Amino acid sequence: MWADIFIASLWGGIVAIDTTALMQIMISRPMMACSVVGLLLGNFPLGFVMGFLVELLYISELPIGAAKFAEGNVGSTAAATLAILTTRQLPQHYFMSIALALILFVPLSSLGGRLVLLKRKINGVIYERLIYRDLLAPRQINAAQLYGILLSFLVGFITLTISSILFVSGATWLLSRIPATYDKIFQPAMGGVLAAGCVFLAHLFWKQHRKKWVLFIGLGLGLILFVKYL
Amino acid sequence: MAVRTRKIDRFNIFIRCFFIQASWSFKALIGMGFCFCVIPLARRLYDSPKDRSEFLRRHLDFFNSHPYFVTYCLGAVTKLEEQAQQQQWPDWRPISIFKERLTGPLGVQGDQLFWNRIKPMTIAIGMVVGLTLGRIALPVFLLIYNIPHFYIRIKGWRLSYRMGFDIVSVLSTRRFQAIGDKISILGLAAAGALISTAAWWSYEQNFAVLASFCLSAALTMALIRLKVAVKFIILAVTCLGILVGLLTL
Repeated sequence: MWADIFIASLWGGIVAIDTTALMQIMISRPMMACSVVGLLLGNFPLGFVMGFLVELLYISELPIGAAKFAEGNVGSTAAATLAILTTRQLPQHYFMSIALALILFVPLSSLGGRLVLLKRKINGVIYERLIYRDLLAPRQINAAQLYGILLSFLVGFITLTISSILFVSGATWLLSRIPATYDKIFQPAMGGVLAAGCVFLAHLFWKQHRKKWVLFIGLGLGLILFVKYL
Repeated sequence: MAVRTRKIDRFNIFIRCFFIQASWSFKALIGMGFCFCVIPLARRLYDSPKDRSEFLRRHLDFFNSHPYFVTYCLGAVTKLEEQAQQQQWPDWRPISIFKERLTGPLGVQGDQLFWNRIKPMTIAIGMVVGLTLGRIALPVFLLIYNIPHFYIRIKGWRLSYRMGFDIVSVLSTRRFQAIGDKISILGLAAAGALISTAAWWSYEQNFAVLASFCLSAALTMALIRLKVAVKFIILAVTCLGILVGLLTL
């Protein structure tokens, strides 16, 4: 399990880098990040489902300027890791693991967000040291930039490591106390979270354009697509 | 001392723009990242460490932009710095003022176009594809998101390097607003498609999941109206789902 936690934490670091520091090609979005965690830990289907469930939850929180935001990308990666590692130990508690991971997704995202703030404060200290130097050399700026990337990596790595170490054994202990026959009770939580995400997304676009007919065309199109392909 | 950059320098500056947000801080926002991007320019245009230091200090000031739109400023600054060297400008204040003036528009245009419209729209399309066709959604999402992303970066760089100061005219609000409006409408349709696809997916799981989906949608709408924080809404709908499961067991 320790090797799995280490691999997932390394991926968490990369997710954090893509979120705010480098490229931003969106491999850090929950649907991508959780699927990759699933692939790395040997349970792609569960990672894929977790990614889709939490993808839209923080869609309305925009990382604009100096705004504080919950680090949903790292949080979702941590939640998916938690669900996968718990399910591995308690396969009969599949939906319980997902529901618990969804609940823990919120504090984990907040932890990630706070670490991002800390990282930005450290960057500020480095910046102040640079501007008061008598002679600025390019290598000093390069080094500062490299520190920034390293700090971003650490944000993701630490969040994943702490959450996995703290919660996997705790969650396994807690869920093993509940009989597996109650597992189905927790399945509807998936629908609830998915619905909340859909409403957040629709609300985001509804604020920009209040055109009911467009929404209805989309609703019809979605139904046709689903019926045709499944 | 050279007065013009080479292609390799400009390519180097462009590649560095992918790293611009790494040193984001509350004191300079992406000022340090901007300075990092123009290092190849300092190396090419200035020989003495003192001149390079002065150049870097000028570009270490406060600066903000959307990370993808920053090329609209980087290209123009590269061009202007070359001009300043060629024509021996008495001072560099016009370049600093130009950067200051672009700070607002670049941030607003990029945030509105990408974070508020293109990103949610492509995610919605990706999720619709994911719920209907499965894992193919992942490459589809990456592809449809990154085409406009790289297009804006490359176009911004080329255009601004060619136009210099005149790039301001390209960044008019109306132009990007019109594109943004079309994307919003497409996004609303995609959101509609996602709602019906997600509802159908829930129904396929079992009736309890569908019931939870409908109730949670209503609860989320009510809580959004009451301006409840997102984290509490997430916890509320998860608990509601478990409650529905308890009632339908």
